[in-house]
Amino acid sequence: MELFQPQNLIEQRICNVADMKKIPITGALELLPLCNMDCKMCYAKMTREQMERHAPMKDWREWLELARQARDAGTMFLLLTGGEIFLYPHFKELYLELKKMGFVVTLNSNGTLINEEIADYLASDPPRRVNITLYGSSDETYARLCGNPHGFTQTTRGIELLLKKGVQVKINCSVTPYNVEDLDGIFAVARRYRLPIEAAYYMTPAVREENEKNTQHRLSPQQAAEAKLRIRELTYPPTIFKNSVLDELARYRGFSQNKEWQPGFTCRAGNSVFWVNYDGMMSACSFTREPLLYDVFSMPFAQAWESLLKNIQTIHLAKECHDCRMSVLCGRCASAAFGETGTYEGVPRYHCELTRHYIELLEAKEKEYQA
Amino acid sequence: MKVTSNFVMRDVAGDIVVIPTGEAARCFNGLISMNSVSAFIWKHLEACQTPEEMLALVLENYDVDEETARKDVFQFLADLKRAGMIED
Repeated sequence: MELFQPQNLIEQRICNVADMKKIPITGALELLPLCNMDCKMCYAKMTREQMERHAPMKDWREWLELARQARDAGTMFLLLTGGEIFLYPHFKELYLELKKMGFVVTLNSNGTLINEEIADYLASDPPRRVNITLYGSSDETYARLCGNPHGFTQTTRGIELLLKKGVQVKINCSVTPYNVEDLDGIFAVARRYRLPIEAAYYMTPAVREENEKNTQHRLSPQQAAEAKLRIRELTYPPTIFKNSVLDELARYRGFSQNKEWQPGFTCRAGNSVFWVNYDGMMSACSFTREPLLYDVFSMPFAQAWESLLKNIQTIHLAKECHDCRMSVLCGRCASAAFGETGTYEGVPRYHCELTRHYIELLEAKEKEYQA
Repeated sequence: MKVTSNFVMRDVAGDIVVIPTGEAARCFNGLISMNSVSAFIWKHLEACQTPEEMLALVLENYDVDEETARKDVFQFLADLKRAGMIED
């Protein structure tokens, strides 16, 4: 999932130039690891005790100082995320100051804590949008997956408050065994509110030891492949979906790797995108770890970014993946490789299985169309 | 001339953009891309009392004939005013 999606050609151009020039145009700030929900598959959350044992939260004025340095280094787009951002002390002050500084700010939230006051101050200086993760289409699903038996009601109330005040909203969705049956319902909710939606079928292994068992609560590769296809089917009108199926198969069958196997990551992370953990460690994305961690509160931002860029250029992802025919349809990336295998050079077999099954599903669809 | 509050100009990855904030962002939640001349005018808005002063400043700094500059500068300032981005 991209941290920031350019909305128009100007933003696309800015992001492309930033990629070429290695400017940290987009950053995500994980303000806190605390959350008011307890989702089974979460890869990042901590209890307050766990957090305090590890490191305290940064003060909002410390984040502001970091943002000033990031702005001077070229950052334009900021994602504020957590944990649940509306639990962060002085969130309002931080958000409004970042807006005044000329950042284009996007927010990630589960939506359950949004009330009139929050909707009002967001509306007074609107974010680019609020990404709200919708975990199900009923309170029962929220109880099962998130431990919150009122979650659906609270989230939809939050969405309605934001929409009433003119704040733009996008729905995100993380598909797990506990809510896969709700997938159609979640898309129906997005349609009801006329909101864009993006669903993730792949759950990355935990980034913190507190969540190490999270992969017990994700879809099997086969289920994930089925969810991937269903998400596409729900996203596009039938004709476009059919064309995309045939196009994906054509790209897979016609694959010929003509790009050189080079070091570096395959996405914008670590090229023009950075991530800062709540404890102040900067990395390429939320899932990358050693040796790509720099304490950006102890060294100048520009120095941390330069070190990150330099170090990423020493990392090769798997040659086997680079040469693989399935790579054109595979969602693997540096973080998936690291999360699944413990090294950036590893082959994330979960993705091999997922993609293999996805291709079988595409071929079955193709047969349906031929019939 | 004065920039209405709630606009921030930034040089980002070689693009000069104006970002609406606050009340302005409620009306337009995007970016306004500027070329070098429009950015020059924007930066000097507060230094000029009238469109004529701005025209003189542009003529001093750019190799352009007066007729073309007058047409473009006046049009740009009128556009900014119509969009509520500047006031007299």
